[in-house]
Amino acid sequence: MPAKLSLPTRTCASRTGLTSKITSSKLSLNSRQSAFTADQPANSSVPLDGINEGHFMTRPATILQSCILSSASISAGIWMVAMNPPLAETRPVASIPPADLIQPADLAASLESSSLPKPLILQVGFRTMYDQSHIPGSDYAGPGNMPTGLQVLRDRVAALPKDTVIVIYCGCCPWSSCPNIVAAYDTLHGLGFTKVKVLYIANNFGRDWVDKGYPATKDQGLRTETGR
Amino acid sequence: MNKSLCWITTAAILMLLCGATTAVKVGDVAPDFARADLAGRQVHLADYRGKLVLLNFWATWCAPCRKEMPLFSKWQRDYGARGLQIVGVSMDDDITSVKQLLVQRPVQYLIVMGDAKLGEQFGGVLGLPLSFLIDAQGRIVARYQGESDLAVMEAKLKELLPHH
Repeated sequence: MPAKLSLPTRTCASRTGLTSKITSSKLSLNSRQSAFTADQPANSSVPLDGINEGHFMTRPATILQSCILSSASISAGIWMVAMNPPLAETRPVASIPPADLIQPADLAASLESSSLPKPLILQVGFRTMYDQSHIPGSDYAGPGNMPTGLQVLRDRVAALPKDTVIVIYCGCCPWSSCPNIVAAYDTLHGLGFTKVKVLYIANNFGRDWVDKGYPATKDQGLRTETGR
Repeated sequence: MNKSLCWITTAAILMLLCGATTAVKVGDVAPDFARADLAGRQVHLADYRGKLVLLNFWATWCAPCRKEMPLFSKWQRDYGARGLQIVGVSMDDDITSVKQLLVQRPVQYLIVMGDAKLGEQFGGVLGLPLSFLIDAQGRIVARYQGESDLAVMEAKLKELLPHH
């Protein structure tokens, strides 16, 4: 019978707010639009060399060229989408049951306690943030907004018993805007994990964890399995 | 001499072990950096001495950041001639998603790719958006963390720009 870890929680439903819906617009395949040079307004109309009306009707070679270019652009677009398919729209962060949230102060207290077994802590946000600072002993298993990130999460927990206490956190953005946490939470539940807690980070990891003086590290040493 | 060197080394090791980052404060000279823009050109922050720089850490996955971008483009158009240069530092893990987003939503200012090391130079970018206003002497004059009041930010930069 595994020892149970009871992590204290406080409800904070009133503070969670509603997630703003982000609807992704369709990917433009106009390969000529050089967005990141920043010199060209989004809606500017750029004549396409050699494909304006006059040339289009009179130069078969140009037609062939433009067909090849278009096919290449479409293929590139399909490849990009195939390699990185968008996730289905996720539920609002506010829909996570308050009983499954844990406050930073409570998690920090449980980490400092020598008598309680430690939960498995997973950062499901972004690598650049994890590399700068994370909760000691936590592993990187994200990002939750990408299929590849969720696969990292699945792989990380694949061998664990379903009653493992897992705390997931992100803190990339204000709570209601977090693109990672719900997908990671749902994935773990979908895998059958019954003791998943979500660290409630109202603003971001810097302000709500590091600035509060809770333990943080850059160290990426191996950790031993705990969480039961 | 040897003793002080020993203390400095110990302090540096301790800082590394603790994961501490030296927070840059308002009034400090902004750390210089060189990063490639999305076309591969090297961008040095120091090259913009003499201009007012709005250094904006952002990412494609950050909804509040995306909300700021059209306004930053407008500011670059409106105040560029008066000496404003906006530099967006993407903290995305990979460049592909940045390029994809900017095809859909072009911006009118410089974009470079950041990383954990650059974040640490600026005291740790542990939440987005995060912006710094850097004056013509390269000094940080304001820091904006999280969803900021953009009207307040604009008023501040207008105050710092030379009046024609």
